[in-house]
Amino acid sequence: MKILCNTKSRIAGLLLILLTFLALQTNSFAQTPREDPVYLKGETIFKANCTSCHKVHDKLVGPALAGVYDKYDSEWLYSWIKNSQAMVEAGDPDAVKIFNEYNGSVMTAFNIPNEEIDAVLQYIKVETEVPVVADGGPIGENAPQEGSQMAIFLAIIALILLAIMFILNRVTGTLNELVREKMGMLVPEKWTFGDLMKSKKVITLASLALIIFVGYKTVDNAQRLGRQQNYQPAQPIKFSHELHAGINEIECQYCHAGAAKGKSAMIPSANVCMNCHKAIKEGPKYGTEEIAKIYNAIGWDVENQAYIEGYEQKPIEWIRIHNLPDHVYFSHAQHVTAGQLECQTCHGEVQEMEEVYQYSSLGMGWCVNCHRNTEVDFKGNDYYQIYEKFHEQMKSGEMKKVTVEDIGGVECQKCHY
Amino acid sequence: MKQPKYWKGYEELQNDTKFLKQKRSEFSEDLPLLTEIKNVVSEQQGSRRDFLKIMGFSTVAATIAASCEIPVKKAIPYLDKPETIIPGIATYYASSYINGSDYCSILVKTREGRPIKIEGNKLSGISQGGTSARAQASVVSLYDGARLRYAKKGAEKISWEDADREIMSALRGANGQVVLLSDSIISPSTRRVIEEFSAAYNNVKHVVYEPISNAGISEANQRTFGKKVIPSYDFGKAEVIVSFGADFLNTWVSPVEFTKQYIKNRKVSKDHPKMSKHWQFESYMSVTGSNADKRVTIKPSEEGKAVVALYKALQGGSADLGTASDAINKAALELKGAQGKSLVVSGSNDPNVQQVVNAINEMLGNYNSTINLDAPYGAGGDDKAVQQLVADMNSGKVGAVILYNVNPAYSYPKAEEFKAGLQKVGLTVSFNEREDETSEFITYKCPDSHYLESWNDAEPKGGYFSLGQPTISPLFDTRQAQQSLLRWSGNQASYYNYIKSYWSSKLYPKSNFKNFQAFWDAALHDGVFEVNAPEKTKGNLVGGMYNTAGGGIVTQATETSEVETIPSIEAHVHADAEHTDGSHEHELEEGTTAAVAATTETEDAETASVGGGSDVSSAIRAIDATQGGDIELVLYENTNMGDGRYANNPFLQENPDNITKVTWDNVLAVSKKFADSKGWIEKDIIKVTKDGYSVELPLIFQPGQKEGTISIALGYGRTKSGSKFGESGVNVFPMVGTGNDTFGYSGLTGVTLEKVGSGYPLAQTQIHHTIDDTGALGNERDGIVLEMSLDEYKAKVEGKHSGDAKHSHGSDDGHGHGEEGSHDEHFFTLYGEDPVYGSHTDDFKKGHHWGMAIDLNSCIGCGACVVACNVENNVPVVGRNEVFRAHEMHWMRIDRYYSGDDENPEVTYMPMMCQHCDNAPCENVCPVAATNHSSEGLNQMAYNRCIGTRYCANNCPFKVRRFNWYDYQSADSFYKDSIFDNDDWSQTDDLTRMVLNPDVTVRSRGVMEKCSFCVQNIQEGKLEAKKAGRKLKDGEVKTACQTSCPAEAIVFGDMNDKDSELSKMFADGRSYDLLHEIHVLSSVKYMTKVRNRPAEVAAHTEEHHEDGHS
Repeated sequence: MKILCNTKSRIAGLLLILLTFLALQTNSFAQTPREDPVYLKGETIFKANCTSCHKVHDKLVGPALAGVYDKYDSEWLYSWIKNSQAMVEAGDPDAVKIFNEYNGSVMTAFNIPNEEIDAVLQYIKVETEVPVVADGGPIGENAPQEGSQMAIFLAIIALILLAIMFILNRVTGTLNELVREKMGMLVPEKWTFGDLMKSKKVITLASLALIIFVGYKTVDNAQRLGRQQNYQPAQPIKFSHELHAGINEIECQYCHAGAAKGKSAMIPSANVCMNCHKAIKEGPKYGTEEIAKIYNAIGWDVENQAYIEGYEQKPIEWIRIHNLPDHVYFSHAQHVTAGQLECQTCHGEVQEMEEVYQYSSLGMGWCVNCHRNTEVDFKGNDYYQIYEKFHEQMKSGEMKKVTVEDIGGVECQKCHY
Repeated sequence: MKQPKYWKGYEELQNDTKFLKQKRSEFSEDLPLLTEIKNVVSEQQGSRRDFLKIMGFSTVAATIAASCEIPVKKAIPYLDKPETIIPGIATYYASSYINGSDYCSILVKTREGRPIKIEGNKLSGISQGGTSARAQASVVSLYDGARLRYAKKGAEKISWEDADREIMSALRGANGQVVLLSDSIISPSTRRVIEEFSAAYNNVKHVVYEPISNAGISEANQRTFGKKVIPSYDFGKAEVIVSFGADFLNTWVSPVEFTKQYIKNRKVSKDHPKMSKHWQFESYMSVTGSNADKRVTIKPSEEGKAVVALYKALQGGSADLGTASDAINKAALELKGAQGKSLVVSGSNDPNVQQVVNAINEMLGNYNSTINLDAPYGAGGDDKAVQQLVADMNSGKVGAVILYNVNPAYSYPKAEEFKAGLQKVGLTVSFNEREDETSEFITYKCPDSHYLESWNDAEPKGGYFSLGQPTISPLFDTRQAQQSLLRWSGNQASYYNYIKSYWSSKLYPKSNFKNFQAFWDAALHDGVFEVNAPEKTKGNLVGGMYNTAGGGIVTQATETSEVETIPSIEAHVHADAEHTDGSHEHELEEGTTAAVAATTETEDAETASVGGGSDVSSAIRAIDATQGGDIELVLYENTNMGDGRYANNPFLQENPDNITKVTWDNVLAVSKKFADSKGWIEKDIIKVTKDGYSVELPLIFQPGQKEGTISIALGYGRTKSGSKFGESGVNVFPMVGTGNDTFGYSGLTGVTLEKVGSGYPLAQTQIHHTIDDTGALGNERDGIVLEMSLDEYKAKVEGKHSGDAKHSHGSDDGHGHGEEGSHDEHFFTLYGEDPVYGSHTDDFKKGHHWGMAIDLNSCIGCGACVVACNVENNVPVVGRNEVFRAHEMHWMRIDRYYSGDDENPEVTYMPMMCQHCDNAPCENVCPVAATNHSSEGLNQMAYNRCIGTRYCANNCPFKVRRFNWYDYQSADSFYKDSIFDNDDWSQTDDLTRMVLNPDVTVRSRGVMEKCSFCVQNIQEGKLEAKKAGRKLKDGEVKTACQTSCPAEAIVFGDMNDKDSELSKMFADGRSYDLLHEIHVLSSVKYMTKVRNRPAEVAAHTEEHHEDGHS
């Protein structure tokens, strides 16, 4: 390691690292109207209710909504959103025009207050007018690339330095020997490779290392038995989460509606698919082929736009990716509704996955780690009022935060019963 | 008062050395490892070579298993998801458990469309949220593989269309009577279906056959009041109850309802230090008798005479009945003091006895107070008609027989006659769900669907209506019997619409709903509709025309008279039109004497006039003429088997009998004195012969059995129940007396006994898991059971201490760890101060601290909790051989203790499960920390961590831990029929496994398990509260044992919630914890048993001796 004492290269290395970091830090964060509470409220409502049919900039089941606030006055929009069909029947020219343009597909009636509609409109307005500042995306994309480039660069330098070290070592060694020989000193007999192998010390060391290595590997593999991190099976329908959740921004819970309510997040039933796919018959990548599989399962006659009567339905057999052993009780509602976790925390950036894979290990260590670190929303949920002692300690500053572990979140019978 | 000695059986009373050894150790046997290995490997004893072989096998097996690829699992969603179903969340449907005369209003818990558990329906005025062991176990019988899977003609499958066609043409051409032989029909719509069927064919006769019959009561009411009914009783209004052999808490008429009523007057508290007084005169120890304040043993032949003696005593005379006279005189005195607030009942099926009982109740003014003739029970057989039918069949008068939920080839006393008769009948059809003893002689088997697959309605008691709805589509190609009858009547309507039309025409007008759909929806949601209990029915269903005085009562009479008389359809319509006036005369015309038919409008006047003049003297003469014998036989019904229809239900087979604690068998119970005189010992095999029919069965000593009497449970010894496991015990139906018009079950004479063997391997759990109350140095510990007399309790709540330290220790000196203060100085645990949580007990003051209070005064020992726990927690059935080895898996058991006189002891029931000790001895010894304590005070058991050392069980003072000796429910990846299976009882097939609760892990072989306080319900309750962002309410989390209990003896809750029901019970002076001196800090507390007896009678042993030794 003395080679690292080479000041020049050390400085060079440090400089490199510094420069890279500086390069990464150049992005600054701009204040945007996207922090406005009205915008945020609108966003929530929009994502929960509208995304299955609408996008701001593109046409989906319904029209693109960019600029909609200029196109119609707000009174018209209120009544349209609340009951579009009534307007069509009343013969409102604009209403009838849209209705016909979209092949007579009926917009769901949303009985929500005007303020909420305003919030949604505000959201659309901001989305239309204020360009998206690259505040996270680019880093997410470039950082790993830059990092790996740097790693390669560093590795090459290290290799060169190692080679130099080896050569220099040989040179000094030979020179030393020569000097000693010249000075008439005894030159020790050279150890051959064979001698080295027969040495008791080496054998002991080697076998010890082997035992440790094999032992470690055994335990490690045994622990991973039954775990399927990165498991990415081919599904019967080439369903793209990237397209649905990413590009079309459909809320996760629109389809996985059980996540907020119960133990199982639920793979959506085919009738949920049909909410949109009655109208969308063609996908961008596979055309009609994959969507036809839904029709085939549930019995939808594309030509007549109707369910086939007496059709023998064929359930879609998805391959289950996230499997927990039978002795584990896991509830989505606990984590999504009570714990207010983002789906991505455990499932990864699903909205970027063309094909879903298992992002987390789902091992017990992984669970427990999170339970140790995660803070409980102690003030936001009245259920936790029973923990009077913790509330006192929080007030007095004795405790800074209450983690899941503090309220018994790593005890056996929270998950195993 | 000194606490008496409590004992579970004679072994304990006599300090049998084997028993003492078993009591001292957790396991009753040595580790059977060597024999197991022997079975697996070779015939030799285990040797080093065997060890190596097994070792090698295991390593290779593990390697192969580990190198297998993880199987691909599918996730198959609904195509069109029903809106109400969210996977992972249970859906409840209100329904009715109806099986013959058994009835409970229930909620069916379903998960993803599978019924998995039965809960009680609180809205019902009858079962009031209580359930029975049978109702709890009924969900298991849905998934019974022995059920018929399709219609059969002989042994061949037949399509329903073909069957319908052939049966209809055969019915039309029937040569003679067409008889529908059914169980009790409590469903009004079914009765209407039968009427319609009767109208469709000539000469149809409906005969109601109840193998264990109460026909004597209805016959007596026919004689006394001219109403052939079983009246409704209200034990809740009775301050003095005298029962002559009626097991009303367990099997008699409507046990769940009676338990609910009875227990109201048995619960004592500071504000209500009062109890009813319950006298029981009986010959064998029944559940009801075991709960009585005063139990007097009499011979069955004396039962009628005792009733007469009471009658005479009440008239001013004095009883003259040997040793029991004193008790009868005292009972008479108490009854006189509670006129109109008392109840006298008899379990006898002899109309003469029941007639005298009627006279007694009338004398006491109990009619229209504790007895109501106008809201009678819908159930009830007609013994005379059944006997007539058998005679008719044999004489060739019967052209067709349709059997509906009856199995006479097994249960009819003269089964051979029945079978012979049946073979002479041209057309035989059966609706029975399984192929049974009778099926052999049946041509067309048209299996009925299970009640959880069917629509139905019921009127178990006049004015109390209830609906049953399907919770799963039929698993097999079965069809509801009502549907079949409708088809054969030429009616294509579905039975569902049929029920609806009945409800719309008959019941909807009685509601105050504006449209029928709303009424129907509300009734279906509630499961019940009660004509005379408006406050209990949601949406104030009742009103309108019934507000006028008298009208309601008369209508009930109209409704209920259909029970027995089955009027023609015209009569029905007629009654509809005029049901507020005297039209019930018309209804009662069949089988009613002219004198009685002229009943007046006011029911009070009616009962007074008719009862006063009724001819009791002839009944008394008949009773006086009954002769006793040297040995008198009593045949009784027990909770588990009923009349044999539950034989194929493993949960009931393995549920220990309430009194004898025997599983998988019926036994011959005798008094110890009687056996001693013959030189017999327990488990000897005795041959019992009566009228040429003999059975061999094991003998047990039953404390409280009258000397000179023997008792045997009915319902066992099926020969074709569907599986060989259902065929346990022996059949004693052929011993039922048929000399009179009604069947006789007690006082049967002409019995001979002979010992033919000994050492029967009886699977009796009586002394399994006996809590060791011997101290470490052999000194006696505090009692497990504590009791006091009502007077002592009164004195105590009024502040006067009776001076006994023992039974007050639970509260007065503040031993209970749930309370603050004085116990702190004793506080010491192995853990000492915890660096993180502080002192050990402080740990539990943070959030929840779960606990349970069990009122020994309320518990009647019915066993519903045991079955409910088994179903809720996937507790496996292990089979007879395993129970024999004390390997039963029940997380919950009911310890039954005797005390006092060993000839006629008092009984205490103590439900026992994991006590969730906060200083638990089991936790310290687990080498892998598989069992440890949660911050909520739960003693947790992590199955997947357990390596099966069984140290914990060894260290548990309450012996509540259970070890999985086998893979009972195929939890392992090695599938069924492997060497790891238990071959006694298999629950490994996919059908049986459908009943498993998906929220509870199915335990595999080699792990320990025990009560978890239904942690799945705790977690669910907490999550619901969190989701709603609110505090958890008291009573929101309930355990399975708690919800099933008809006596409300179990209360679960949070000790940290000072306002909870639980905290109130813990603070009550009666609560105490078990084995207090070993300082395990248990979370379960028991409430001292209070017996209603005056303090001076506390020296009860002498008195009992007087009664017991005749």
